[in-house]
Amino acid sequence: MKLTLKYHGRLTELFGKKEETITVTSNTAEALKQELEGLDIRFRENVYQLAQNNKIIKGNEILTAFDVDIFPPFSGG
Amino acid sequence: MNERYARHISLTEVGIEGQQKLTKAKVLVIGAGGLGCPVLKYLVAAGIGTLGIVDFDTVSLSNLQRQILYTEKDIGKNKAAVAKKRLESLNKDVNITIYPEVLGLENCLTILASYDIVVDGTDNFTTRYLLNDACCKLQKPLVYGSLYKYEGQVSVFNYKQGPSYRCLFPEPPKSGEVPNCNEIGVLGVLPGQIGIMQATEVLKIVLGIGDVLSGKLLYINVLTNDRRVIEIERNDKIIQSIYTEELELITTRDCITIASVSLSEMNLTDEGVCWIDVREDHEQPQFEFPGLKKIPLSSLLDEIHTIPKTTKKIIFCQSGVRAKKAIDLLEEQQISNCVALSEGANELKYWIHQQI
Repeated sequence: MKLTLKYHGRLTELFGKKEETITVTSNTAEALKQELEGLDIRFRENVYQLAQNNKIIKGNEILTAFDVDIFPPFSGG
Repeated sequence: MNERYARHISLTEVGIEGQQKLTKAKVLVIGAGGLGCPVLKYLVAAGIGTLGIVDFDTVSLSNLQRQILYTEKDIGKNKAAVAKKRLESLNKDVNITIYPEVLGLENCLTILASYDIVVDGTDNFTTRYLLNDACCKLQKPLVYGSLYKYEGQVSVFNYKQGPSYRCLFPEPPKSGEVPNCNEIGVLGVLPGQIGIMQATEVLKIVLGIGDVLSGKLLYINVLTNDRRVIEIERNDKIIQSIYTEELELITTRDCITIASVSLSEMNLTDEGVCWIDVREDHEQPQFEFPGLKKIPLSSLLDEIHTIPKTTKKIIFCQSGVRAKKAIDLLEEQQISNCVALSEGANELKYWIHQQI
């Protein structure tokens, strides 16, 4: 299925874009994480969380949205 | 009391009873920087009765773009001490205790124990994870805020059995993954906005009104006006492991946890001090004075055997950034007692001229 990844924080600069639409086969949060990490080393080398419909998703939670937000931790204060 | 807080007392949800709750509240703010300054100013204005301020750092010129409690006259002075003085002139009835020290394993639980609510105004993951774990163990709410350039996050962790920061990010980023806050920049008004939202959460918790941002991460982007509330779930396994394991410091050195010293605190005749200039050989101005070593950052590791291990070492460069990197490298090699000079080489030249 087609999925739009929306980058935030430093990931916007790391990927050079605010969002991109890719085709994935995963249907859960964990499977998507693994698929992304297989596709691009930048996902393996950075800490981030996935969110859909304004909720952090992990493990076996099913992907239901067409957009997934990718949030890295922020450090500034 | 009534006249000062009349606009609070007029609110049905606050009233005299609510204002009394604020007076009895004890709030600890970790970091008196971009976030800490607005948090402190609004909490003092609101009449929070007891405030603690933890900050080991000194005011520098580049802080003044966003750290609104400080003026040019404060450069080189400890932030917690200056903040206390400034805040007492705003509201003399607030009892303020300062801790001009690094928050670490030795002092963390003791300092936190005296307060009801803790505000995270830190700028590094080492302190953030320590603070989260300590608040979780002590079951104290942690009002979290953090920034990246034009984006900010706010949440309340460890509140009434809600999630902790580790439920959001169980493991810290690797060293160097999130750049040093000195290198990335931030729009000056952003910490003001995030800090005020943190102060708002503190007031809501104390007053027992509204929906506290527990189990939720408020995210804003001031460039796009994107503003969301993201749900976070509590992870019982993670919380349990925080309860059972000893506190420990994570090793990510993402930002300044490095001690610094200002020229205003020193004399050129101070004995037993080794000065290290880590600029490259061609950089001006050049110095010659007793106790000075010239070791460019690029050859620091090759020359490490020439650096005394226990003597106090003051490291300087052109602006202060390389001095902090040098200390990172030295501490990795077990060379301690290093402090970074807050000022750069040009300020040092002027200072030496004055000393002679």
